[in-house]
Amino acid sequence: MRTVNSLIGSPIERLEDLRFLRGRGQYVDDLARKDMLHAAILRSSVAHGRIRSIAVAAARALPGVHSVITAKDIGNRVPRVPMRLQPLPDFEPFGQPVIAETKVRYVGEAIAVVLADTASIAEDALGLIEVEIEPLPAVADRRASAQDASLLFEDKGTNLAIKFRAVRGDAAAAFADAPYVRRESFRTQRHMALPLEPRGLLAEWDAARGRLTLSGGAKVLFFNRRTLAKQMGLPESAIEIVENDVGGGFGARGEFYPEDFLIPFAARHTGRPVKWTEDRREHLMCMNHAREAECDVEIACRRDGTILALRGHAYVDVGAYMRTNGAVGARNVAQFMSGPYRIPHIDIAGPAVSRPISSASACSTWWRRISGSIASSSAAAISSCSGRCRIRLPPSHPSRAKTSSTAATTAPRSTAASTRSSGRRSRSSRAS
Amino acid sequence: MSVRFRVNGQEVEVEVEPRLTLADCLRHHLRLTGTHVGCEHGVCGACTVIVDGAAVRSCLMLAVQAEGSEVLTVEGLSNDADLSPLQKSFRKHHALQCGFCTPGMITTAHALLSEEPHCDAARVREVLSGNLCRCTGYISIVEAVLDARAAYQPKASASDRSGDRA
Repeated sequence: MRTVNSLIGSPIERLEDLRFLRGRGQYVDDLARKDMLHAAILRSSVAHGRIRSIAVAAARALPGVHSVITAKDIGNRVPRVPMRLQPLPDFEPFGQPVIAETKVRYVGEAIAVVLADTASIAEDALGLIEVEIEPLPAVADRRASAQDASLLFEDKGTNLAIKFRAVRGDAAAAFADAPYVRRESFRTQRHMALPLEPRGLLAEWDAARGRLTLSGGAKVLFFNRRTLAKQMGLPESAIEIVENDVGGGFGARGEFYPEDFLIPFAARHTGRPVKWTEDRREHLMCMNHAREAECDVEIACRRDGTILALRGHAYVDVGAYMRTNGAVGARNVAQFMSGPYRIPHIDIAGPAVSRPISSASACSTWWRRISGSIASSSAAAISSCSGRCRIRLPPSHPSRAKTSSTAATTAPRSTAASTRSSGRRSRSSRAS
Repeated sequence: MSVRFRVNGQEVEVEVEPRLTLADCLRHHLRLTGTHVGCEHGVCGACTVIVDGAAVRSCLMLAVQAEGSEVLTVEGLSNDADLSPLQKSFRKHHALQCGFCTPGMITTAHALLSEEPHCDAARVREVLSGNLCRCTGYISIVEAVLDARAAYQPKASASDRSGDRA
């Protein structure tokens, strides 16, 4: 009987390398079609403002420009970017129109789409569009956002999208009896996935057959197809989304972005294939960002360093809109705050704050690692103080140098000598 | 305006706008899409091609500046029959994942090894520091380049040399 699988643990040469190494990959921007139009997108340079007017006549008149699309060309109701994960009704008012209607809420939000014979002409035409935006106060951090002095969504009356609370045991009682308590604040900065290949799409509309082919898909093709079918009033079977070679995704590529509607719409609108490739500046402004969070936490322990309880508040900035990942980041920060430790008593409140600043919303699902870092850092704080904690950290671990309240962004699992997984997750519940 | 140069050994004449980059000219006018554009401002190195023997960012060079030059792209370093020794080494060492940075890595490494076939790891790292990879990390890429050095060293027969087209 064969008991050893010779493939596991063996380096297997990949078939796709034969193409990639010879420059024969086929990424979406490598595609070209006859009569193809090139799209360029006018984006807001204002973090928060009310759109007064958009004048596109000069852009339309530029030789080589085929058309210019704004919100009023889309139809009665501009579709929203869908919420793919945990689409709670609370989030509906914070949804993003695929093209700005009356307000802009982040730098980079799409205002108009130019379609032209070449990408250069399309970009030239962007400079000929005149947009009048009445600036509104931008809110640069979660504290200002919490004051609700400047509201992204006036109808909602608050910038706070939702509050989560993760509870296990009786944290209050555990803290009351704890021999040692330590309070710390931690913060992780916003960052992003940054795949080397920018996003791109090629949409082809076959009017005779009523069919749409969209190249440049990734990750969640079938969810995106369902979404697009609804938005375009087509049966799902009339849409094919093609995943070409993908130059890195890292969780962020493949989510449904405004362009995933705008480019197919433009192809049907013009009856010609439309290609759009973002440049790196657009990419930095418009692709989902992640992980901006602040936590004020208290950790209670015995004299020997055994952790008894964890409590506190976490604040998660989801950006200007609730996009495809909704507030999963906020939920995970609350829910997985205990990280790899067995902590019998937990009480973490995690509000998700929506705010207008330089960019958009959503995040990847890697938040548990951050919350785990916060737990590790809290434990390390005890370690550095009591000298009796069973958790050992290498000299280079940022938590050892206890000079500021910044969070470690990585949790070196192997160095936590007494780490055990509880095998259970704390209960996460919504609190109003 | 019209520009004439050689690409991968073939004479080409292209009608371009003066503002067109060499990268866009190669990709969209000559349909040599192996050269990739990742940042368009000389940071990522994905668009690296070899112009008159030197590794060059084709996004920072205008097509018209290539007039009279000999341009070598990843397609010119490849043949249908087999991978070159450098490409084989990349495959062996798993020095690529998504493949988007790979053509720039190959062209940069080829330019380096053609001039310095005995370079050490520090030199390989120094030269590749201009090429960003987001997938694999750089250790396997450096190992792949070091392992390919033999094919560029004088004792290797001419037919084994990666740079010579079949």
